[in-house]
Amino acid sequence: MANEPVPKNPVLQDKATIKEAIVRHKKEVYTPVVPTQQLGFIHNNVDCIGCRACEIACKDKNGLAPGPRFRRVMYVEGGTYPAVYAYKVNMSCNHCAEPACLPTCPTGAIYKRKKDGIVDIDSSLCIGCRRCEAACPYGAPQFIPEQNIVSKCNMCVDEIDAGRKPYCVMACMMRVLDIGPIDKLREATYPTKAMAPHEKDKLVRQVKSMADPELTNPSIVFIAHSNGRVDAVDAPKEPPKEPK
Amino acid sequence: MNAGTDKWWVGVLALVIAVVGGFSVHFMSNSNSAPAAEPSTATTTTTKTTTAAPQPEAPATPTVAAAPPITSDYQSARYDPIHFKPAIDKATDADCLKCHQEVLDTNTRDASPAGLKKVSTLAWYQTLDTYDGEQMTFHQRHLTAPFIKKVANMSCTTCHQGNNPRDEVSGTAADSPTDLTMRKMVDPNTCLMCHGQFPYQNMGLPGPWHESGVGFQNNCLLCHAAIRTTRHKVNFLNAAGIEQEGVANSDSCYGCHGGRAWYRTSFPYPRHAWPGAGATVPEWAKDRPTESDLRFLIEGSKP
Amino acid sequence: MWGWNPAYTFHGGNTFYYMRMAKQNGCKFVLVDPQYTDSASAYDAWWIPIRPNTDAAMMAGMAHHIFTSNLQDQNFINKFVQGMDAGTMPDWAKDKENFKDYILGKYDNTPKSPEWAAEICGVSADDIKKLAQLYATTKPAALKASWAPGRNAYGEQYNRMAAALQSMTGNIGILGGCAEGIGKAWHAEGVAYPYDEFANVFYESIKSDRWAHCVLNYPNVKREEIGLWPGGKAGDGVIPNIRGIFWQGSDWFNQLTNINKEIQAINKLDLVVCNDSTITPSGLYADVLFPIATHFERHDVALPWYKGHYYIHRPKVIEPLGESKTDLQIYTELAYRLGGDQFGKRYNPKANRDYFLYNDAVDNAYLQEWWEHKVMAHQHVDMSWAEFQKYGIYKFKLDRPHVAFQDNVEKGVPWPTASGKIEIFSGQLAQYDDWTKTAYGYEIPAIPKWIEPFEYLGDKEKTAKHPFHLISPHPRHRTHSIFNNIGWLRETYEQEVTINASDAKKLGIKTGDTVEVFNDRGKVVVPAYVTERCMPGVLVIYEGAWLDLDENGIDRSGNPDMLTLDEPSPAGSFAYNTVLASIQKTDLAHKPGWDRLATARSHVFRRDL
Repeated sequence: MANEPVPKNPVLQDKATIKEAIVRHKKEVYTPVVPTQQLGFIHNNVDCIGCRACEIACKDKNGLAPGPRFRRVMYVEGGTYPAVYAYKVNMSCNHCAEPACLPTCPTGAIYKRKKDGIVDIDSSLCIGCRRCEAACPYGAPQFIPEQNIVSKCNMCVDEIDAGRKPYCVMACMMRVLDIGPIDKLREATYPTKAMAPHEKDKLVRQVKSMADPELTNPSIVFIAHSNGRVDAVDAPKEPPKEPK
Repeated sequence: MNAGTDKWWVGVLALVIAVVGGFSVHFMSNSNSAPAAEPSTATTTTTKTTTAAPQPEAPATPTVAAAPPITSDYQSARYDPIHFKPAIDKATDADCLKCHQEVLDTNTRDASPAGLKKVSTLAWYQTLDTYDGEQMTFHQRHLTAPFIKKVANMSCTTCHQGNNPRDEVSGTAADSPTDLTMRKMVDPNTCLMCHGQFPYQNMGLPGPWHESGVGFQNNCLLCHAAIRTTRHKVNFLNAAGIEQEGVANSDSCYGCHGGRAWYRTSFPYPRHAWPGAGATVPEWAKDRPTESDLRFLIEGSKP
Repeated sequence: MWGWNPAYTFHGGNTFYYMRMAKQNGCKFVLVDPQYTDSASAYDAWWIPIRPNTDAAMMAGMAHHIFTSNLQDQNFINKFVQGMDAGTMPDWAKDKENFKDYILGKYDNTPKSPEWAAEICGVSADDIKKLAQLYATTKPAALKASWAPGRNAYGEQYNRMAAALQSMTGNIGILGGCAEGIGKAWHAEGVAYPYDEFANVFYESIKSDRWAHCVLNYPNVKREEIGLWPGGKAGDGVIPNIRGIFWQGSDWFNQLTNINKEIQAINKLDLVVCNDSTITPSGLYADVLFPIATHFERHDVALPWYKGHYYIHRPKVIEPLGESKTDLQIYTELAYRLGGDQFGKRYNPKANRDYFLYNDAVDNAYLQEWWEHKVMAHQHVDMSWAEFQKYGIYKFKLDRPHVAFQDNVEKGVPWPTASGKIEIFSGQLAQYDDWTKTAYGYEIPAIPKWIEPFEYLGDKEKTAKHPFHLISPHPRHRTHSIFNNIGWLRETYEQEVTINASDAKKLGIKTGDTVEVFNDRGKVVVPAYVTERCMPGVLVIYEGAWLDLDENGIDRSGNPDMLTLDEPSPAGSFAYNTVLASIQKTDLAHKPGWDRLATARSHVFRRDL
């Protein structure tokens, strides 16, 4: 059967023996998978019209009922009439270099692919404890109440393996969303329609209101709006750190 | 250590393959027999029970018993002032659970859709001695599990500070709540306080605790009996309880100080100088505050 | 972009993306609109907020600046335009008003100066001059005068005023210019299914949003009130006694103006038939409901809306569910039952009576004939019908950019008007003497002019009672009212009223508050969205929400047509955006017409409501 949880010793079956084994392996640490090549997203916050076709294509691909949204386009606006501005931030799972969701999972359902760094949840192994949902700084894992499991964006692994791009990217009428090797996207050396050549200096790994990328090193870059940069002049102060 | 971890992952991979294999057999056998009971049936039933609207028969928890009738207007419920500052700061757990009791009542599945039983699963961090009891949901683990009751006084609003109902980001409308974290119901900095890395460099240790702990008899109090700060004196922790647990087992300390690290970084705790601490502030602590965040200070201890 | 929001409305295949490429190539954008739209943000446009329904005044102010600064393209005007100035008036009309002298104030001693326009439209005179200067000196420049500002009282004046600006700057017929209205350079081969000789045996028509007015007031209706047309035929001027309505995929109770008046009228009819694939709010009023096959249940071809150069094959994916039939199946069967075999056969020549049961072969025959005898024959297409079905799409490769009216400008082809010129002075309009016997009913000046609308923010008397101007643009999450019943889209977008932040503050309204928006015609209940992106004094409710009436006749879903005026503009456009209304907080619940919790992310956290 498929229930052997501690593979070092396949005869372990009950909780007591597991506990015992645990004492021996005490204080193990989790070491992240380092992929051969990390794929990531690029999104142009300014040129995005916010049509959310990517969201709907994603829901279609993943057969999601209303409620859970793997991908979300967030509308941000500011200024005072008539000097206003608006931009969009589009995020799903950021397939982090060191995903916070992965080490939380008690069943091993979450894994990171060695070949391209895609982080996926094997739903068939999920028991719905929702720890990953709590741990993710970017709200990627989505609870599916009907099944009492958690699910999330897997960058359409099947499409990737077939040599195509994910549904969200293919659905983007403005070509502002794309995927590529994240190191090249960060260096602006990967050819993508999401960014015009003169927009290189607008590339950022974090935008205003987004959780600190130092937490997990998310594989996403944005072409930021001037008011969406974390160093923007009218940016609100860093949210107060809650010290203990 | 790395070797051990690697093996652990190989094991999980094998586990995944085994489960997938098992699942396809199960699936194929279903295709030529009458609808067999899916492993998820039990859970589905549970969900249904909790979905049913008013539950007069349901065992009333003390918090729900006296609840006033809940409004049936979704729009006004969603925008109820209790979801925003300042009302959210005054909200008690009872207030929240009037509507959201479900987060505590919904349990994990007994088995995953492929039949992986929850009693036979354990994550690496659950190997700490302090991890006890069955797999629970993170809401249960943070609010009602025996261990959390001993060391903390967590409430809903410790983590939840409101969200933007339009789509959970600040600045979506002229009067929307500010300083919320994009796409996230809770500021991850709150999580980081107990789920960050062990900052051994700052503490002057030769390596991370799982390596260097042996040299200190795996006992935090070896040093920290003398070097004491007042960090635990915040309203969501039970300082006395932590003290007691920490004496009994250093895993209780380690759990929150690196043993369940989800994130790459550690939380920049405020610098509380202890009696006898040197006057010079080390480089890493230079810009840190000296007091905990206001909303976590215990009544009467505010500066 | 004048009242144009390509981020929300589909004008030609992929226009929004081509405009992004234009931006990358250095094109600058300006938006004249009461809202700072997502198009404005995506294209980084200079936003000029304007009072709704005052566009013609601002354009007149721009024309004034162009004329007085002598920035007009006089060569283009002299060559191609009729009535732009005294010199281009036709000989027979030398005594009539020309456009330039109207703008300069020769006839009424009121120069239509930017300062004059600023008073009306709320845009500063400086901005009007700046935009006029930019538009007249940037070559080429596209003034994309979209349709929404025309869907107003005297909206045609806005469209004609835009044409005057386009032609006085010589921006018509050239690449990079724009001649809106409907300057199509590409035409699809349209009709595939039979278009029979009996398609219309009754030639009288009325303006369709006057149907309720006609039913309720019959026979005491004047022909001009309903735009009865055309005159001069047998039975000329006979007010129709409407006894029944046959809707084919038409959702009047979500789409036409002044719904309360429609509700009164429909109760007076003898027969209402509705063909639709879903039961819409209109369907609820029908006596007979025909369940219609969806696009997935019949074989067809999609033509591009509205300027794309491609065809999409639409195969029948599944058999129609339940008792559904295609529209053509129903009409063919009706033809057989009404007129016997002879009529049925002539109505649908490729079919027999059993078409009601077996339509696949006949449908394919019609489509194949269209492809082979129209598309392949007329449009130099080599791909066979079989191949087209296999590929699913045919995209034309154009050897050069197609520009509307290019041949008129470059090759001297006469314009398709009576004079062969761009008629800023309309010879046809100038020669009417009895407006009641025209399709318009009421006078339309021969040259574009600013005419004060039925109700707007400049009307001191009416704004004392209802101080806000309500506009109801297209939503991006529905095609008018279609797809409002899609769970994913309900989850993704809200029906709400947009209000400026300073207005909201005065009224104590915050985002998420449930408010009622009302005027003398009706009342709707919606959540409020408070923003700095909307002009003060303006409310926005996107059209097409499905009506959900409570016992007091209040629409809880937020359909703005509860408040619109069923008084069309003389040229016929519905005055959807000519509405004054009030707004206030309410205790009434907003009911979008479905289980909101089931479509909200919050149901993850709370499922008991």
